[in-house]
Amino acid sequence: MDPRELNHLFEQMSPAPDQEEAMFARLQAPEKAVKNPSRRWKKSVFVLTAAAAMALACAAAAFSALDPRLLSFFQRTPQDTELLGAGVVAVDQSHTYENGWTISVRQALADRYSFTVLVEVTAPEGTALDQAEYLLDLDSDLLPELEDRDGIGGFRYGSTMLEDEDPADNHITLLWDRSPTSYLKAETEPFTGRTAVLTPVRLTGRETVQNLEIDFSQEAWTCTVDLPEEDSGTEISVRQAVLVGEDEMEVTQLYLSPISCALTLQGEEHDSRMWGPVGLSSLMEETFLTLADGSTLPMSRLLDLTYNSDAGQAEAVFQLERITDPEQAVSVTVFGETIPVP
Amino acid sequence: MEKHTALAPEELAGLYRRHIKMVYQICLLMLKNVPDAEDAAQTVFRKRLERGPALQDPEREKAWLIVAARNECRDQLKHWWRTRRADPEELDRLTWQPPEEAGVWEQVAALPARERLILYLYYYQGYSTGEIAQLLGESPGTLRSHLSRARKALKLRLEAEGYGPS
Repeated sequence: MDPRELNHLFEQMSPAPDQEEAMFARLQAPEKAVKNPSRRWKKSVFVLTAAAAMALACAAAAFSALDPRLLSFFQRTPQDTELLGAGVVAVDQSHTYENGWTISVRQALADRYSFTVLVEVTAPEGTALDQAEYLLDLDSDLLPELEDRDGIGGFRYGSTMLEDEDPADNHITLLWDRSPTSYLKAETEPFTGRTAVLTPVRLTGRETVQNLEIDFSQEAWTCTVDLPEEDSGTEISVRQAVLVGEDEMEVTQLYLSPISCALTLQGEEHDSRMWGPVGLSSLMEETFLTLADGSTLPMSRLLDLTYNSDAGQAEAVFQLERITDPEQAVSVTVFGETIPVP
Repeated sequence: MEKHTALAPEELAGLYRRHIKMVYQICLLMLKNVPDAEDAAQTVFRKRLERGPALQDPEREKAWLIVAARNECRDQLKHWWRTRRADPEELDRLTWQPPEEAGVWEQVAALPARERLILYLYYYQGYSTGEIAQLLGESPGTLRSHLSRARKALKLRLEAEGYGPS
């Protein structure tokens, strides 16, 4: 390897003069007053992922205490589990594949519009899971097979890797999430009372000399989770006009639970733009919850954003950053407009 | 305890001009795409602005920025937005491409972020392995083994791509 080649590459990574100036201008502006314009297209990257239905196995649904790792993720103490009621579902099912890898589905957390599963992945002894980032794909039968329908697009997220206390060991823990708005049928079918059949598909590591990809799909193991009938959230009908970038839309539905917040925004029907209002890509930055004590909770975890261009309708589901009592919520602010929570 | 005051605007401008190239290079090298690198570089200087007056020792100032850039990128790599993108191929679509020969970059980009940073600090910035170990808070032995592994992996990958042994 010639170091000169390497240094030539590094030199090419220098910022262009106009790029330097633009960054400096943004640096001098008040924080968040000037957004990075190149980020907009990035957040408009829409991903349609396949959801294939498959067979089953495990299960168990009973009220239980929230796993400490989920409590930590949601910045809460064991007492806050009470807020979730039957939304915490014990699963505790695992399977060791012929390739030596083990998948353990420990617990699920669900409400009307969100479903989060705590999954442990254990590699064969001697395999260090030391990459900074892993993605876990699970198939589920919760969503209708409508991903190819014209005029509907959106993005959805895969999994979140939790803090790895010992990167040198063969063990990682991830959260896998879904929300039911992904396909914007005429009427979204909530998760409450349904049965989720989960099938591990693959684990992907992104930070290695050769990208790690472990295929679990060759072995037909599935895990069934009965989602609770009881819902800890509330639907709120609203009619609040908001300016989404340069587009006028109306917030027509709001849902709030201790773990999620869902919004429906209605715009002009028969929108010819494939991905709808450009301003929607700023939804995360433009939405927050205000609590009775005056504090605010940002909506930085967007589980799903889907846009139906024929209907001119967008649906978004946020996972809250911490478990929150909906009774403590005073309002939700969307694109600068404050919507009171009764 | 001494109370920090924010960096004066003229000090920030000087610091920015001297170090933006390095900070941005580190951010782009670690995050592999321009929007994230720009955001991370801005955050590093914003944090520097909040931290207080300029340090008397330019090398310490530079070292602080390297570590801050590394930390910011490491946080971003673990950030919700990245870790939840459903389709890994989307990440590839966002990856920066050099204006010239892309082959070397493809092989460098495939290395772990930590090893990419070590190569940069060693070859481009000219730090010794001992200095890099101190900067990154690792033992010199571990650092040398990372550097050696990165060099070896890169050499093998480049040879496999037809770049030939050096």
